[in-house]
Amino acid sequence: MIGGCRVVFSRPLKVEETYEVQAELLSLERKIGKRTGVMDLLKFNVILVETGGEVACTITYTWVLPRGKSNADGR
Amino acid sequence: MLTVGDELTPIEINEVLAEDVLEWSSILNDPNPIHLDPKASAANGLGNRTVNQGPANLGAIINLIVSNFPDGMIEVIDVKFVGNVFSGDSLRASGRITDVNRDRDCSRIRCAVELRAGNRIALTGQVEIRLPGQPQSYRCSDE
Repeated sequence: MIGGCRVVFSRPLKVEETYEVQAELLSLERKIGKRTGVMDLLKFNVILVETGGEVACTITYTWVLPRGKSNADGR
Repeated sequence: MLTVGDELTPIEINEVLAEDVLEWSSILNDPNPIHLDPKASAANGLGNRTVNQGPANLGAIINLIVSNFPDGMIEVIDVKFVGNVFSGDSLRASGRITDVNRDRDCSRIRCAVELRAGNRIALTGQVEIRLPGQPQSYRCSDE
């Protein structure tokens, strides 16, 4: 499930414009929540690039990936 | 004159409809069953109602900004999804101006925003808006 997002519009998105969508993984971090147990926090960027090569929008997502109940060693 | 600390005019949604949650799943191509079937929500410990999509919750915040700043352009949205919105919930999107700055050819406004589902906080964050020109109806943070 989505935990957060940061959207940065470098320029307006336009109807009829073609965008290349790029993505990059930023981090994957294991956490132990009091209610959710073991979870992984996955942070990644989705980048919309205009045909001329200019970045139009960058979205940094944080997704929460529940991994079930906590074990003593967090696995 | 708008200034730091002013509240935005909130947006109220009386009820999140289950059929709208279904439609969002189709638009977003999101097959997660917690949006489609109350039994799937229950199986995941989320109660007996379908879960509204996070982007739909974010849409309420974007509507809040657009309705309060119709000439503005959103430059940055930075939010955390801290709780679920369920079908049947009422929603209230609200915000407060936290910073106003004038640049050479525009003004930039920062707002703290929040989405509540009933009494629960579902989303919190910050939005930065660029306004064309230097409207004198805004008092800058350093004035």
